[in-house]
Amino acid sequence: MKRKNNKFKKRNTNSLNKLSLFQKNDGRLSRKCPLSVKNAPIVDYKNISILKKYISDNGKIVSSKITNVSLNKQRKLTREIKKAKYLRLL
Amino acid sequence: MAFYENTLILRQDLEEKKLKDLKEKYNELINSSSGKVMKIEEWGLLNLTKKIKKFNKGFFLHYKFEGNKLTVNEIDKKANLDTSIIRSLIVKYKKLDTENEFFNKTKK
Repeated sequence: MKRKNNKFKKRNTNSLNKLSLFQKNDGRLSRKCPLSVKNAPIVDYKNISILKKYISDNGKIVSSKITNVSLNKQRKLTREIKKAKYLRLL
Repeated sequence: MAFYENTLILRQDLEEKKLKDLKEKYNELINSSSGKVMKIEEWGLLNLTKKIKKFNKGFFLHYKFEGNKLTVNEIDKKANLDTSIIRSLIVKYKKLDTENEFFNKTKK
């Protein structure tokens, strides 16, 4: 219960600094998807160097919560990673 | 007509003569069965991350071609029966970019 109270207090102090309710919170900035920027690298099963970034040491696919990849690109990533694994490139 | 990419993994213990023969064989097979080869890439001998049929390495061949259902079916049939081919993958694309080569850059 103490922990919950602490969090609530912190948020309150932040919200007091804001000008309006709809202003974005400074403490939690949301990063943009690194794969849907302009001139983003191509997601393809031949492009191993990019696929390796989104795989853990055990060969598991890292979730989009951690990497901030958009839903559409995450779906494409999993498809391409599985193709690369079938050809034993990853 | 649609665009396809086909990658074949060959055994590591083949002679150079046989490699060339196989490369031409599949080139002709695509051309003869209502297809058209646009580009052939040789990725060379690469390490496999996991073993396939007790092989640690494999020779990679990559075809980019234009074709239809018949060409895909014929390649699948031949590749499954061929003992010198360990694995094959055919992927369909709306557009093919023949300029980018991902595996030649790493060699240099």
